[in-house]
Amino acid sequence: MGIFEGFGQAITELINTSGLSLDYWQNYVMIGISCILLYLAIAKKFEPLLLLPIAFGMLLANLPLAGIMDVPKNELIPIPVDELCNAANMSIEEIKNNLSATQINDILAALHPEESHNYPIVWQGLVPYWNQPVQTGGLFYYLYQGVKLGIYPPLIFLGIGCMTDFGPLIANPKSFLLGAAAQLGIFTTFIGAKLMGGMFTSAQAASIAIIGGADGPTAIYVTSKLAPELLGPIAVAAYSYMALVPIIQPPIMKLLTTKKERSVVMKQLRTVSKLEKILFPIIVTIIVSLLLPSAAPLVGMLMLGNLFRESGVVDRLNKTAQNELMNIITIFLGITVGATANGQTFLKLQTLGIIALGLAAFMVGTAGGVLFGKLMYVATKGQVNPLIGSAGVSAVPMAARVSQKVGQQANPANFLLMHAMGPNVAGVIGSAVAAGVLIAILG
Amino acid sequence: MGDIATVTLTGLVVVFAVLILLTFIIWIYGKTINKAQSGSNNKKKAAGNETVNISKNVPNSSPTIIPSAVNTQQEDMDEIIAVIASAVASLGASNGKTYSIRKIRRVGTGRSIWGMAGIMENTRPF
Repeated sequence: MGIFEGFGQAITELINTSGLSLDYWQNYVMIGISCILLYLAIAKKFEPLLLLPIAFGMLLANLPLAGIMDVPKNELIPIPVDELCNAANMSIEEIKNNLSATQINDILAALHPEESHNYPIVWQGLVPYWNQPVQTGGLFYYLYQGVKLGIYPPLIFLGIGCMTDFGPLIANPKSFLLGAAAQLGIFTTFIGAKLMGGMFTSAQAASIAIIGGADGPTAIYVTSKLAPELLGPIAVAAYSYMALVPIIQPPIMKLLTTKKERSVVMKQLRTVSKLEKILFPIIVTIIVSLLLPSAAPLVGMLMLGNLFRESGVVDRLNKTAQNELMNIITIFLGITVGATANGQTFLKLQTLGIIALGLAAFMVGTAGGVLFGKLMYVATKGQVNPLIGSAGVSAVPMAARVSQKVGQQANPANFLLMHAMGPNVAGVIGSAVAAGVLIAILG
Repeated sequence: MGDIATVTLTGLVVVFAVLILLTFIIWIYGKTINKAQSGSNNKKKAAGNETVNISKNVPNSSPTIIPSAVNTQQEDMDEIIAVIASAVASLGASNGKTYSIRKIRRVGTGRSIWGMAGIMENTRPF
């Protein structure tokens, strides 16, 4: 009987100390959502390179008691002030102003060699404390510092720069205008978010609006600077909508254009010389960083990557930045962004608002690009196909592919892809500039 | 409300202003570089023409390659005809009918084969 009782108690204890005993229904809902996202990434191949790590990060962070995103805990231990003053022969004020933490620790270690505390010292007024760590943080907490400190997004931009050919944009610089027009979604969504009955602050509204830039790293960068508490829902919304570009954009493109406009065959782009391609990243970096220093980390790294590619003299760096480095950062960024989507913070009315506003941002951005494309169609007397405007939302190269596909539906012999790549890469620069503006105003 | 208008107006104006400025700068430097490079290309062409003229005056001691190029083209055509004939023969074998080939004509695609190859090459990464 004793054996069975003991066994029963042990099992009950195990259940009580396991995650199953906790009534965190939000976490279980999030585990369900992460499984759906995993399905979309694996079976439907929706941006799997990002969606898969995001979904798995979400899964791990929502497992109760796993503590994978736990913040490290510290304890403040008071330092014996009298002993310290006597040993140093100084007042506490003089000690604070003249001695470093190492010197204070050395004095105290000489007094009590058996209980030396070699910890950082925190001052609260004139009272010193040892800042003793009592629990280290979870794995993802440390990896998340790259997101929190704005390190990963510019490194991703470095890799994107290595992979991007700005040739179509250099050949047709007017594409820059389409890249600017497609940022309309960002600013109209900012208005929408602010008008939602005070649900969002200006900084939060700007972070949500940047989803319309259709650029995951930019959205994460801006949010980490302006509203880090919304990082989870914004990143998930941004990447989900980027994956859904082929579904969101075509109806808007068709609605705003006639078949005649969609059938326009554009003139072949001129050949761009090597020298032009090498000078482009240098010129863009100088101009954008001078005018908008807050956009320098994103635009600067994007252009550095592109210079690696076009210069042709740092092949090893180019390959590393666009392969190994980018893949490593993608893993870290994906899992830690996913891990911010904790049930308690994610399942709120705010999240639904963010998802709705993010969709609106994408749609208005697409419409802005297409409408500006129509304007160019009229101004050039039918030489510009308005469909290339929708590619200005970024989402490289998916949005350009959508322009190509919709164009071919109207005219099967039409090849719009390279024409659409111009606004597409201009959109990357445009959204980075918009991010810089928002950080400069609201940061 | 004033805050919303400020951010929106400033944002849109700055984004457009920066990108319009970039448009002009890229357009101007593209023109300048093109002009400079076409100038140097013309010089090279002129130099190249001189070389050709000189070489024309030199007695041609090496065998000409033109006939062999023609032969290669003819061989290629023969091979293509052979492939088409075998495809038609296999079609005949499968349905029990006999076919004869009277004429082989290239079907126009609206774009030259080199044009198509160029498009495929340029769009493959996307």
